[in-house]
Amino acid sequence: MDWRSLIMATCIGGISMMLPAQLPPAKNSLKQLPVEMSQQRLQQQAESIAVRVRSSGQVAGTGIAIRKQGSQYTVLTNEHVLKAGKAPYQIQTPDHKIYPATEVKDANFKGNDLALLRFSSSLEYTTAKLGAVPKVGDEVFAGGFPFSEEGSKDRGFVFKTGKVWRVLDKALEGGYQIGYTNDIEKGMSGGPLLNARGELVGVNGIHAYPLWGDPYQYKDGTEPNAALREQMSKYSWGIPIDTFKQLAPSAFEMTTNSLKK
Amino acid sequence: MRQPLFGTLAAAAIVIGTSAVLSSPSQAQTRNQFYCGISEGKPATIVRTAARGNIPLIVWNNEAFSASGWTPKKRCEEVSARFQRFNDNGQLNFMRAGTFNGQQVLCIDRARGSGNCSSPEAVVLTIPQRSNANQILEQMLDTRNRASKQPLYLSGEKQLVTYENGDANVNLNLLFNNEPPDNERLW
Repeated sequence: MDWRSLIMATCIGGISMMLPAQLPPAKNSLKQLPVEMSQQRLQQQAESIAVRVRSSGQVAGTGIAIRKQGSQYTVLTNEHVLKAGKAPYQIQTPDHKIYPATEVKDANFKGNDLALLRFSSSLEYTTAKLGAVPKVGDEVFAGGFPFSEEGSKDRGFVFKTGKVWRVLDKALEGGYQIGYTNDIEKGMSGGPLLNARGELVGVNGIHAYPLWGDPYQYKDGTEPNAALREQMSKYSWGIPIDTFKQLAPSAFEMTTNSLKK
Repeated sequence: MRQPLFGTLAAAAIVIGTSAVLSSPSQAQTRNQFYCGISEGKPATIVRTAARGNIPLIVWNNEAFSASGWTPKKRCEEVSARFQRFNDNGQLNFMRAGTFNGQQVLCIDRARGSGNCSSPEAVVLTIPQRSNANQILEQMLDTRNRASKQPLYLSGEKQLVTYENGDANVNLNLLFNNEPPDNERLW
C-alpha cells in the first residue's frame, strides 16, 4: 500500500465521520457500485428501503421497498408477516406516511416464506439494489422494526451488524438458507439483510433461540441432526434474495443494477 | 405426516401415541418460563426468555360473558401453567390441532394427524368454534422463532362468544345444548 492512498483513505474516513448523524434518506445515490460503504451509510441505506407492514392498526413486521414502476411501489416481506396480521394491510414508509397496500396474488414463491405487497405514491422512495448470495464470514447488516415489550408499539428502526455463519446447500423450511450472527428480534421479519456494499442479499425472518423446541427442518422434510439443530438455534436466519429473483412473477420486471446492464 | 392407511394400524398408532404423550422423555427443552402476566392491558400468556426478555404469546381478550367462571385471567393462568408443564417435560414440540370432547383444541400428541386428543391432561387450550384450528396452530408454531409480531388473540371464555369480522357471534349450541357441567374443565 502506498502512502498517497493511505492518506486519501484517512481523509475520506474523516469526512464521512464529520457528516451529521441525521441525513435525509439518500435518493439514488448508489449508482456507482460496487463500493464498500461506511457503517453509517449502510444504516441509512437499510433505513431508506425498510418499511413497516401494518394490519389492524398495528405493525405486523417489516418490509423492503424493492421496486418502483411509475407511481406503484412493490414491497417484499415474509408470508408469515402477512399471516400474523390480516388484510387490509398498510405500508408505512420511512417518512411515516401510511399507504393502503394490496397483496400481489400472482406471486407464487413455492413454499418460500416470501410475499409481495403493492402501494401507490407520487412521492420518491428509495428501492433496494439486489446483490448476490453472501459467503461464510462476510459482514452483513440487518434492519427492521422490533417490538417493545408492551407489544403494541415498535421501537423505531434498528440496525444490527454481524457475520454470515453458514449458507446451507439445502434450504430450511420456508427457504431459510443464510445463518448469521446479527441479532434479529421479533418485528424484524421481512426486513433487509445487506452486504457491505449496501446491496440486498437476504430477507430476515427467523430469530435465534426459539421460544421452545428446535424447529429446524429442511424444506424436503428431513431434519438436520440434533447437534446441528442446536447449533442452528444460536443464529438468525434469512432467505437469499436469489430465491426471490428466481421466483418473482414475470410481470415483475427486474431493472435493478445488479440484474440489468 | 401421513395418517396410517389401515384401521388397525391407525388404532395402534393412536394407542401408542396416547400412552407416549405423558411419558415421553424430555428433549430440546428450554429454560424459558411461561407465566400469566399483562400485555396490552390484558391477561397474557408470556414467555420469559434469557435471550430476548418477555415475549407475549397469547393475549386473552376480555369478552362480555364471564358467568361461567372462566374469566380471561383464570384461563390465562391455567393455560400458562400448562405451557410451563409441557415445556418442562419437553413435549411442546408435539403440539397438534385436534378435538377433545367435541371441542377444537391444541393438544400434545405424538401421533400426528390422529385427530383426537387422548385425555384432558393433553389439552393445551381450546379453540373458538368458528376458528380454523390449523391456522391457529400454525400461528402458534410461527411464534417459536419467526420474527414477526403478534401474539395470538384468544377469547377468555368458553367460546360462548366469538368475533368474526368485528361482529360478535353467540354460540347457541354451546349455550343451550352442550353446555358442559361446571365441574367439567375446558381451557
